Amino acid sequence: MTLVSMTLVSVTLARLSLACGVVVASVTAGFAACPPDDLKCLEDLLKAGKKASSAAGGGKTRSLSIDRGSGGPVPAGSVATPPPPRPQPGGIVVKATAARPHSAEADAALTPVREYLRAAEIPPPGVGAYGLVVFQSKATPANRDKLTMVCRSFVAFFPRGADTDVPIGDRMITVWPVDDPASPRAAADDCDFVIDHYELSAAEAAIRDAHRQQPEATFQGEGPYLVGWSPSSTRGVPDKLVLVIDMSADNSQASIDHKFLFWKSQIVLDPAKWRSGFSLDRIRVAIHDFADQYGQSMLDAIKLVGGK
Amino acid sequence: MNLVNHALSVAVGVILGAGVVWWVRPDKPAGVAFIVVVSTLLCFVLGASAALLSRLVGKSGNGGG
Repeated sequence: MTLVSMTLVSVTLARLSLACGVVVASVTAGFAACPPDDLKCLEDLLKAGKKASSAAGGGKTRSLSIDRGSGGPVPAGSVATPPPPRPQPGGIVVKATAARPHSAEADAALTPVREYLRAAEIPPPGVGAYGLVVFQSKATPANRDKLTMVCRSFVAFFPRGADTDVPIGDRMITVWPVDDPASPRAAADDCDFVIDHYELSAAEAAIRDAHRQQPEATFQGEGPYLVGWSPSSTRGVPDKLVLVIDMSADNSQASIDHKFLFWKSQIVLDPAKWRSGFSLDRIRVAIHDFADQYGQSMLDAIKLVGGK
Repeated sequence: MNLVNHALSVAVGVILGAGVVWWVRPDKPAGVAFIVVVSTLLCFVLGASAALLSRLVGKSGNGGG
């Protein structure tokens, strides 16, 4: 085969697989939107999927069908309801050699809350576990937007510590270090205020202690990071658990939200899930973020090369 | 035979792509399509490379014998 014909075949193949991908995507999304027993909705969806594939590359879709038997619709490899968003890890952790102490209180899941604290007040005395939002620097015009997104996630994902009556020993406190936590603007969750008044000394101390416990955690990225210790007494102790979640590669609100969701649901509820080294989940997250970020550009490029 | 091989590798790529989509669960439809396209192209290229290698090995084996 000559080079030209190989190229043509590749482009045609790409358009065909694009058509398949569009159909898969539209059907997957649509089945999630259709009630399980609504045949009309599913048939309309299939027609829309065929139209979408025609617009994408003219491919024919004949592999999907609706079974009109008594069993109802039988979608090809799809689910009727969308699965809940899965928490996604993105950081590196130290494998612990010591387990969390087993007591009645420790066996209960920790309640995730948030607090604004001065550097001198970290760690809060008696807290079950805690973590910090760690910045590499204070806000600059280049990173302010990202820090604002992190602040919004911080406010959105955790209730305030003052709003809960859970004993402090059962709390996992995510701390945002500020130099004036008593300010009314901090109480009002003013992101501009808490970003401008971020206490960098607390972040530097957290980075130093985490690096001491886990030398592989170099903190070379621009951050921000989520750094946590459970139980709280393990900070700075060699061979104890420390979790570092790196948000350096996350530049959208959605991906930052994913990191906070993972921090909250997996790490807070079960510190035993803090894993080290190679993780299949990290690969999945990396593919997920790459596909979401560059997928549209790639599709546009294929259409451009292949022509209309 | 060549066409059958290519068709098989494309089919494997699409199925593999669907499996990866199920595992990764992209948020956007463009992400889904991206994964399927990349998987299909990858399998096609690997299949073509394997076929080419087997032909080369076969030729060199016949030539040496």
